[in-house]
Amino acid sequence: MTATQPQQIFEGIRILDVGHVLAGPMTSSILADFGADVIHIENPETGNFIRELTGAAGERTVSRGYDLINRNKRNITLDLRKPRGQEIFHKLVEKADVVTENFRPYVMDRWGNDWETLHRLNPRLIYCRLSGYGDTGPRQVRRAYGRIAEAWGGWAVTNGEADGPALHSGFSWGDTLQSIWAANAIIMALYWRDVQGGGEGQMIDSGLVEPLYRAFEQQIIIYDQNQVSIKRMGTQHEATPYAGVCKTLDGRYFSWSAPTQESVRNLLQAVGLADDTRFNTFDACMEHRAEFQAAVSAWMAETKLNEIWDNFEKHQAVGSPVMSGEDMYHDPHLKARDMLISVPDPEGGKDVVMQGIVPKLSQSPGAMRNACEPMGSRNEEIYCGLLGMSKEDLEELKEGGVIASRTGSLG
Amino acid sequence: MTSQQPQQPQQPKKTVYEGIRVLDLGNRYVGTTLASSLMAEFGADVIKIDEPNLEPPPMGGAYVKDGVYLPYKVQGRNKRHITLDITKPKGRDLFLQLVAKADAVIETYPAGAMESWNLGWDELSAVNPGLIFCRISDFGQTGPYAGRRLDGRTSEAFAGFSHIDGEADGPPLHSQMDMGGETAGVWAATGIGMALYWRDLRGGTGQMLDIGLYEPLYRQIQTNVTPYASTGVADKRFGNRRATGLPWVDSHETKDGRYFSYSGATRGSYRDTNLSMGMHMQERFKDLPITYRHREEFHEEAAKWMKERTLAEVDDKFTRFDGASAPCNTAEDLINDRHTLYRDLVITVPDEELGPVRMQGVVPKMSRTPGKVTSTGERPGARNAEVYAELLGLDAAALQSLQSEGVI
Repeated sequence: MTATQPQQIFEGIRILDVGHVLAGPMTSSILADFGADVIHIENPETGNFIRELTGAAGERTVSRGYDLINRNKRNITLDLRKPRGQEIFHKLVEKADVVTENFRPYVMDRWGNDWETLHRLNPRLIYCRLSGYGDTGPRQVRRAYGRIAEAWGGWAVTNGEADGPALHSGFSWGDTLQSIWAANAIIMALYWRDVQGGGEGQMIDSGLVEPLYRAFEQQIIIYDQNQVSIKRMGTQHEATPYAGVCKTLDGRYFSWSAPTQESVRNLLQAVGLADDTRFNTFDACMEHRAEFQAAVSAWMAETKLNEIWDNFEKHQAVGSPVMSGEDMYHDPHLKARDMLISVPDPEGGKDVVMQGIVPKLSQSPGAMRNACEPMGSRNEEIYCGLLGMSKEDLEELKEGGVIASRTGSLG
Repeated sequence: MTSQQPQQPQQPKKTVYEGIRVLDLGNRYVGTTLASSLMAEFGADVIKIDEPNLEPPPMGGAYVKDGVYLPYKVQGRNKRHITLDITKPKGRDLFLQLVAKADAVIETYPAGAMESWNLGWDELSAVNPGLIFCRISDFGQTGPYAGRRLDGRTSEAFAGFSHIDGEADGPPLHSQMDMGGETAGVWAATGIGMALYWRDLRGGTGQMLDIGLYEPLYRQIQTNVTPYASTGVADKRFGNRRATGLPWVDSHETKDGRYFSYSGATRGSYRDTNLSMGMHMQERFKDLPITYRHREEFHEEAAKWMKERTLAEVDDKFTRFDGASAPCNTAEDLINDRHTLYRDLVITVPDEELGPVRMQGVVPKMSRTPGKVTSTGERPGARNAEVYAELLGLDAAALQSLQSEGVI
C-alpha cells in the first residue's frame, strides 16, 4: 500500500470466529486476508481438533493445512459452555461486526447465542451461521462434514468410474465451497449495512450441503426437462466426446477439454485429427466416442507431457498436466503468480509454504500477516486490551478454566 | 457511481446490490458466469453481453432439449441479455458508453485479448475511474503460462484436484461438474463485492481483479502444497477412503444398489458411526489407535453391513444414532426431497422457450436482504431493444442499422 491509498478493505471490521474443523475457520480467513481483524475463539480444553490430526505415521501433515485456514488471525481461548464464558462472549459481541460459527443449529442457541439475543446486544451484528443442512427443515439437526455435502448435494454420484462406486473427492470440497459462499454473503451483508443504508446486521443461514448442490448448476434442470440424473463417467464427460485424461509417454497424465466450437477445432488440430470425418463434427464424434478417446490416448501415450502441452499452446487448445502437490510446489508459474508463499512458523519450526492470496486486487490487495498461531496466544492482548480486564481477572479466568487450562501448541 | 463517498440513502435499499450495474462479457458456456448471476440474485442489474452469431456449445445428450442448451437456463438467470461485437470500432464505442454507466465489468477472454482491442484497464478506467474490472483468464494475466488455454475442467487438473480424485490404482478423474469454473465464479463475485465495499465505503477508486481460472480451486485445497513442503510426500488419490487411514470414513453399496457415505472424522462422530452399524461393542473398533490397526476389517464389516440393508434402512439407523452420513443423492432424489423442498432449494421459474422449469433456489438465506430469481437464461440479444434504449437512448432505427452492420 502506498501512502495515498485508503486502508485495507476490511480494516476495522472485527470478526469473532467460533468456528471449528474447517468451514467456519476458512470463511473468516478469506476476510482476514483482506484486512479484517479476526479473533478465532477456541475451546480451551480441546482447541480445534484439526490441530491434532496427523498422518498415518503421526506426522503433522493434515494439521499443517490448518495454517492456511487460520492464517492472519488472533487466537484466543474461551469456554462458551460456562456462564462466565458466555458473559465474556457477549461483551465481545458488542464490539464485533460479524460472528461466524459452524456448529449444528441448536448448539450456539443452547449456549445463549441465538439470533434474537445477539441481535439485541448488537443490532449491527452480522451473524453467519453455517450448519450441516441449514437452520430449518427436516434434516436440520443432522451432523454433516464435507463428504456429506458431496453425497447429499448430488455430486458424488457423478464422480468416479462409470462402472465403479460413487466417489468422494480427495479434499474438503463441500466445506471449502461453503466457506467462500459464506464469505461472499458476509461481504454482501456488510455492503448493505454500510453502503446501502441498511444500518443493521442480519443473519446468514447456510447449510453445508447447499453451496455444492447449488453450484452444480445443471443437475436439477436436466432431470426436470429430460428425466435423467447425471451419471459418472470416469475421465470423460457425459455431454461431449471432446474431454478426457490420458497417460503420457513419460508416465504423467494430461487433461484436455473443449468447451466451445472454436476450442474443438483447436483440439483436433493439436492432436492431429482435424481431417478425420469420424471426429470433426460433433454428432459424428459422439457416435465414435470410444474411437476418438482411443486415438487421442494413442497419440499421448507416445508423446512426452511437455511436448503435448507445448503443442496445445501452439494450437491454443485447452489442456493441463495433472498436477500433484510435488508438481505444484516446483511450478514456475505458481511461483511467478505468488501462489506459493513461504511464511514464518509462529511455533518456531521451519517456514510454512502455503497458497498465496486469491483473488488479486490491483489497488487494495490482500496481505499476509501471520500463519496460524498457538492456541490462546492473544488472550492477554484481547482480554486486557480490548475488554479492559486486569491481569488478576485473567488469572481468575485461567483458574476457573474459562479461558485456558493450557496454552501453546497442541501439535 | 464514482469514487466519491456516496450519500447515505434516506431509506435502506431493498437489496444488497440495488443500483449496481455489472457488464458480463464472459463466455456464457462456462461456470464462471456464476459470478454475475450471484450478484444478480442479490439485486445487481447484470447485462450479459454475447458476441453476435454466438455458436452453440459443443454439448449434447441430456444437456440439450429441442436445441436448447439447458445448463444456461440456470447459469444465465436474472440477467438482461444483449449482443455486441466489441472488436468492431462501432461496437467498441458503444461498449465504452456502457462502461461509463457501469460499476463492474467481468471478462473471461485470454490474457491480453482486451488490450488487443484497445479495451484494457487504461481505456476502461479513463471513461470510468470507479470501475471494477474483473478478469478471469486461463492462468491469470501474468506469468509464464499466460499464453496457454484452460477451461473449468482442465483447471481442476492444474489446481491439484484431479491428482487426488480417483481410485488408488486408477487414473486421475474429473466429476461431471464444472468445479473449476463454478468455484472461480463465486470467488469472482466475492472479489467484486470486496472492491465495491472498498470503493464505496473507504473512499477508494475502481480497480482490476486478476484471477487465474485455476486459482480459486487451488486456494481451497489445503492438503496439497503445504503438506508436501513440510514432509516431502505429496497427497494422492485413495478412492473413497482417507489417505490418512482414518477408518470411519467410507462409502458402500446398499442392498438396492445405491450408495451411502459416512464420515466419522471426530471423536463424537466415529463413536456414533460405530453405534449406527452396531459395532460399538467390538473391542477392535473401540478407538482410533486400535481401529487403525484393524481398519481393513472395519471397512469389510461396514461394506457387508450395508450390502444387507436397503438405503432407507441404512439411513434410518444412521439417523437414529446421529452418525454423520448421507445417501449419495441423484438429481431425481433431490428434486423430490422434503428437505430441499422445505428450504426452497427447488424452485419453478417460467422460461420463454421451455415453459416452467425447475432449478436450484437461492443460496444462502439472508434474513434481511434475501436473494430471488426473476428470470431464466435468455437467448443472446433478447433485451437489445430494452437495454440500448434505456441506457444509451438508441431507437429502433439505430438498432436496425447496427444489426445490419453486424455490430449487434
